[in-house]
Amino acid sequence: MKRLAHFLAILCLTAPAFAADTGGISGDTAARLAAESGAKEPPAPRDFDWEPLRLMAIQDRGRVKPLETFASESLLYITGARVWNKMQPIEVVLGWLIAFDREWEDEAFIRIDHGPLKRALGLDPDKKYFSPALLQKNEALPKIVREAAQKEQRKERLSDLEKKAMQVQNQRGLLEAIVTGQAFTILPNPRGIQEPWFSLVALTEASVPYPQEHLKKVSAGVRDMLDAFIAKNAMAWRQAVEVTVPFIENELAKGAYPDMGQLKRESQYNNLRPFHWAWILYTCAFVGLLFFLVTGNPIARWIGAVTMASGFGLHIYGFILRCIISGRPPVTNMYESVIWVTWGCVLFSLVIWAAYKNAAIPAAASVFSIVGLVLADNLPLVLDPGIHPLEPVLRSNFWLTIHVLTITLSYAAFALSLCLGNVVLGNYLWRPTKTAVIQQYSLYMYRAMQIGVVLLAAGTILGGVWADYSWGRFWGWDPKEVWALIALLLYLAVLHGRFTGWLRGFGFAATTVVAFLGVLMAWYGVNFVLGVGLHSYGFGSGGMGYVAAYVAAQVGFILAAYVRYNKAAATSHGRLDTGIFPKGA
Amino acid sequence: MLKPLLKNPLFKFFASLKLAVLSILSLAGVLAAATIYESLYGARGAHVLVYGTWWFAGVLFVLGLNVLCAALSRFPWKRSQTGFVVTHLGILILLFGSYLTQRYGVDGNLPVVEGQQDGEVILNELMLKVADENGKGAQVFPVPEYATRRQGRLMEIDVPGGKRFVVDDFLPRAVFERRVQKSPVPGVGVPAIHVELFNSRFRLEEWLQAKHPDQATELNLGPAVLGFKKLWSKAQEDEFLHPTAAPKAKAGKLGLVVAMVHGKEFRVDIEDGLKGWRRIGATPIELKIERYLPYAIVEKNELVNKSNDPVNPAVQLFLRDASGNEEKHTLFANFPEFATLHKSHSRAGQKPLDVKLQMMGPKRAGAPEMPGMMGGGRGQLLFAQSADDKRLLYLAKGKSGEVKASGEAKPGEAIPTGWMDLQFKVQEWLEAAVEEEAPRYIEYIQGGDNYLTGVRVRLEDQRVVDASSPGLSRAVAADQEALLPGTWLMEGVSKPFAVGEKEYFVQFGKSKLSLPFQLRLEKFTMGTDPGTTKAASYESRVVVKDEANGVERKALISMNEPLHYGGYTFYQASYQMEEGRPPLSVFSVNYDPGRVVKYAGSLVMVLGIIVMFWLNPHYFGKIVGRGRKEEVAV
Repeated sequence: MKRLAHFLAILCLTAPAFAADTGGISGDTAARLAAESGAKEPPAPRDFDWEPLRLMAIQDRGRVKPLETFASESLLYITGARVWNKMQPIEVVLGWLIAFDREWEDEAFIRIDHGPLKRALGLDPDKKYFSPALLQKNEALPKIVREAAQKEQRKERLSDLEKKAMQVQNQRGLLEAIVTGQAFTILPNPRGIQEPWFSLVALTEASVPYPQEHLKKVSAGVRDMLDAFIAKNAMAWRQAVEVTVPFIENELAKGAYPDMGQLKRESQYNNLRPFHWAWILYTCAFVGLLFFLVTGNPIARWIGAVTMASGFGLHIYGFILRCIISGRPPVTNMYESVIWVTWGCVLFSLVIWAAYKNAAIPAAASVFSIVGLVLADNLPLVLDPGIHPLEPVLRSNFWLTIHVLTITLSYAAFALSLCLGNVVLGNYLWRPTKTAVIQQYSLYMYRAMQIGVVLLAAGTILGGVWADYSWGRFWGWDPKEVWALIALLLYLAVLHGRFTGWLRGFGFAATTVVAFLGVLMAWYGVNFVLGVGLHSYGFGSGGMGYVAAYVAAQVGFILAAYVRYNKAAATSHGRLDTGIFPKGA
Repeated sequence: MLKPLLKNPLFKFFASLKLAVLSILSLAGVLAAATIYESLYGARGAHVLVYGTWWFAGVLFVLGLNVLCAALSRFPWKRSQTGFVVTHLGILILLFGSYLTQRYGVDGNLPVVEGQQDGEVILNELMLKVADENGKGAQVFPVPEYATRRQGRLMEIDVPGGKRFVVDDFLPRAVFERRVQKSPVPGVGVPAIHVELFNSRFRLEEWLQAKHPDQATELNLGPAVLGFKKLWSKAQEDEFLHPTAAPKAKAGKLGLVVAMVHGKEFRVDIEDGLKGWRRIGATPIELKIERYLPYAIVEKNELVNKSNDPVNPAVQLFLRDASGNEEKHTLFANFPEFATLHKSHSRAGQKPLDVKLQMMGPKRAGAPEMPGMMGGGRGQLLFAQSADDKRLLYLAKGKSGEVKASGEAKPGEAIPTGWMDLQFKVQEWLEAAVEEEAPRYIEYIQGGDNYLTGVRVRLEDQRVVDASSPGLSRAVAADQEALLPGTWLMEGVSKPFAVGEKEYFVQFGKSKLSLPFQLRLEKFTMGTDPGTTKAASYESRVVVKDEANGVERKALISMNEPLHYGGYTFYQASYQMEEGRPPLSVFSVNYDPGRVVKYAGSLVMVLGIIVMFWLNPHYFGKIVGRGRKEEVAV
C-alpha cells in the first residue's frame, strides 16, 4: 500500500492548490486503495491507447530512448518475456508503477532460472516465476547477496549461484526503482539534453528547475493519468495523456528534448524486429535450396535465392538502423557480434556461391545464421539486445572499429568453413564413395578458411595496433588476443598438416571443423567462461549449456562420419584417397 | 655456401614441416593453459606461470628457429615461393621485434596526484628495500614471485648484529582488511560493538569502536548516524541518557594529542603544543611538539611532508620529566597502534616515561559531522559504554534530534528505535577490542586485476619491542612478540624493525625507474554518461618538466590520446577519486624499441599470406608443395 499512497500523497502535497480544485482525488484514491487492499486482483489488460506514451523519451542508463524501449528492456530483464499475459511492456511497467500493491505484488512474474539458486532459497525448483512478495519475505536471499557483495568488493570470484543471486537482486532493484517511480526519468532537463533528467519522484522535490506553473501542470497531469489507470477508465486516460504528454515533450524543456524522428526510428527498429524476420527468411531459403539440391527443381532454387537475398537485405537494414540509433558500429557486445558474424557468414557464402555456382554453399551458411539469430532472438538474458553507451576506451576510435570488424568477419568466414566442413563430413557419412562431390565441398571449405586466416591474422595484428595506440603495448598476452592467436594457430596447424601429408581428405575436413572450437573460445569462451582481461566490456554469463551441447553433437558427428569413412576406405582399396581437392582446381 | 648446412641432419630436423605442426600445436596448448591460469590468478599469475618463464621463451625460440630453417631449406627460392618466403620472413621480423620489446622495453605505471609532479615509474618486479634509520646503506633485493600463496623460507637477508630478515609467507593477491577482535592484552584496546540496524526492507551491520577518549566515533549507516563512546563517570551516563543541549568541545584545527599519563587522560591541542613546552595536566611530564606533517611520507627513509593536504597527519614530539629524561615520539593519526608498537628514541639506559600517546587528526573535509550537528534527514543512534564497563547504553534520536528511546542495550536483543520502523540489535560487544589489519588472501580473482601483493617478514631472534614502548611492560611486549610472529608488508608499505640499538626500515613494493623528466598533473577530469555516474571519458592536463633540457610543455592526455615525450609514451590508464582528497591520475608509461620492427613484421606477414593464397595462381604459377602435386589446390 505504502508506495503508491505515499507517492500520490506527496504529489498532492506539492500542489495543494489544485488538489483542492479537483476535490483531492489523490486522497480518495489512497483511501479507496486502502479499503480494497484485502482483495487483490490479478492484473488484466486494459483497453487503453498506449501509442502516445510509447514514443515519450526517457533518459535511462546513459542514453535517451523511447519509453517503449525502456519498458521492453525492463520487462525482458525482470520476466524474461517480451509480452506478459497479453499486456504490452509499457502497460506492465506502468502497472508496476501505479498498481503494484493492488495487482502485482503477489503475482509470480520475476523469473529465476537457476535450479541450485532456487533450492538454496527454498523456492519451488519446478517454478519459473516468483512473486515480489515471496522474494521480499525470503531470508536466504539477502544473506547470499550480502556475501556476494562483500566478495565483489574484494574482487573475489563469485560462484555461479552468487552471480545468479546478484542477478535476481538486480531484477528486484530495477523493479523497486520502477515501483517507486525513481526509474521514470522522463522529465527533461531544461539545461540541456545531456544533463541528468528528473524522475517522477523529483516532482515532489523543490529541486526541479521548472517554473511553478509548469510544475503544477505536470504534477496534475501525471496524477490524472495515474488515477485513470487505476480506475481503468480509458476515456479519462486518453484525456490526461493528450494533455500531459505533449506538454512534457514540448513545453518543459524547450530545445532540450530529443528529436522525434530519432525516437520514431528507434521505435521502428523495435517493432520491425529485423533480425527476427531475417532468420525466418533464411529458414525459407534453407528449405527452398535444400529442396532444389535434392530434386533439382528450378522454382525451389529461385524461391531460395529470393528469400536468401531478402533475409540478407533485412539483416543489413536492421544493422544499419542499429548503427544510426547507437551512433557507432554495433559490434561491442555479444548480441551485436552474433548479428554481425551471422551476416558475414551469409555474405561470404554469397561470394563463394557466385564463384562456384553451388547452392549448397548458401544453404550451409543459412544454418549457422539461423541458429545464431534464433539464439540472439530468444536468449535476452544471455545476449542482451539493449543498446547501451560504450566503455570509454572504445569511444571514437578508428582502429577499434577496423580491428573488431576484421576479427569478427574472420569468425564469419571460419563459421562458413565450419558449415561446409560439416557438409563434407555429412557426405562422408552418407555417401563416402562420391569422391568428386566431397572434393568439391572441400575446396569451398578451404576457400572460406583462407578468407578467415587472412582476416584473423590481419585483425589480430590490427588489434595489436589498436592496443599499442590505446594502451601502449602491441601485445600484452590478454586472454582475448591470446585466444584469437590460438584460433589462428589451430588453422595454421591444419594448413601445415595438409602439407605434411598427415591430413588427407577426411582429416582435413574434420580438423577444420575442430579448429572452429578455437574461434568459439575466442569469441564466446573468453567473455563468458574465462571472464578476465582487458576486453571486459563484452563480458556476460549463461549459454554454457547450449555451447556444450553443440560441442558434444559436433564431436559425435565427426566420430560417426569417421566410422563410416573408415569402413568405406577399407573396402575401396585406396580409391577414396585421391586427394583433397578436385583436379585442376 | 648453404649446401652443407642444408644437408645437416639437425638443420633438417628444425626445418621439418612436422616439427612446425607440433610446435604450433604445443604453442596453442601452452597459450590455452595460460589463459586459464589468467582467469584464476590474474594477468600477473599467468605471467609468473607461463609468459614470463624461460621455457615459454624457449617455445617461441624453437618456433622462430623452425620458421627460419624452413624458409632457408627451400633456398634457392623459386618465384612461386614468394608468398611462402615473405610470410615466414614476416613472422621472424615480428618475433625479433617482440624480443627487442621484451629485452629493452619499459612498461610501467606513473600515478600522479593532482597539483603535484612525479617522475618515478612503477615497474612490475617486486623488491624489498632494507635501510637503516638514517637512510644509509639502502639495499634492494628482488623478491621471488609466485602465482599462488607460498610459505616457507622464501628469502633471507642478513643484517649486521647477527640478525637476519626472513620472508616466510608470500600472498600474490590480497586485500587488507581491518578486523575487530577482543584485545589479547589486558589494558590495551578500546570498546567496540557490532551493531545491526534493520527494518522490513533492509538490514545493515557495522562495527563501531569508541576510539576517542571523550568524543563519539560516528558512522553513517543507511538512514541513521551511529555513534559510540566510552563514558567515564556516573554524571556522564546521566548526561548521555538524558541529553541537554550542552556545547561540545571541538578539536583544534590541526587536531589533538591524547596522552595517558599514569592511567589518566589528558589532551594537548597541537597548535598549542607547537608553541613550546607544555605541562601535561598536573603531571610532572612536559610535552613539546616539534613538527606537524599533514601528509607524512617516508622518502629516502626520512619522514617528510608531501603536501598540506591532511592525508596522513603525523606529529613528532618530545616528552620530558622533572629529572630531564627526554623521549622522542612520532604519532600518526591514521595509525594509532604505531606509537605503542615502536620504540621511542631515548637515551640509552634511560628508564622509559610511562606515557601512552595517541594523535587525533583534524576533521577531514567531507567526513561526517558530529551527530549533534547533523541536519535533518538522518536519525541518530548513539551508544556508550558505562563508566564501570559493565553496561551498554543507547539513545535513539529522530530526524530533528528529538529523543525517541533510550536505555540499556543487551547484546542479542532487538530494540526498536522509535522511527522508520527501525530496530537495532547489538550482535557483539567487546569492552576492550583491538583492530588488526590483516591480509585476506584472494585465491581466485574476479574480473579486475588491482590486487596487492603482500609478504610476511620476520626478524630472526627478533624482539619486537626492544626498548619497551611507553605503557607496555616487558611482559606485555613478550606477549606481543608471541602474537606477532612476523609483520605483514603490503606493496608500498615500509615498517621499522629494531635490531639491538639500531632500527631498520624494510620496504616492500614494486621496483621503480626514475625518468629523466617529471610530469605535473594540473587537472584531472572525468566525464559521465548523461544521467549516470558511469565514466564516459577521462582526461588529464599535464605539464612535462624537463629541467635538463629546459623544456616545459603543456599536454592533454586522454583515453586513446597519449602523450609522446623523450621516447616514452604516456597513456591515461586509470584514476582514483575519493572524497576529500585530490584526484589521482594513473598513466601507463611505455618505451618500446621493438615497435617499428613489430609493425614491419606484421605488414610483411599479412602481405605474404595474401600473396600465398590469392595472387599465386595468377602471377606466380602453382605452388609445388611437399605433398603430391594434385593435392595442392593453389
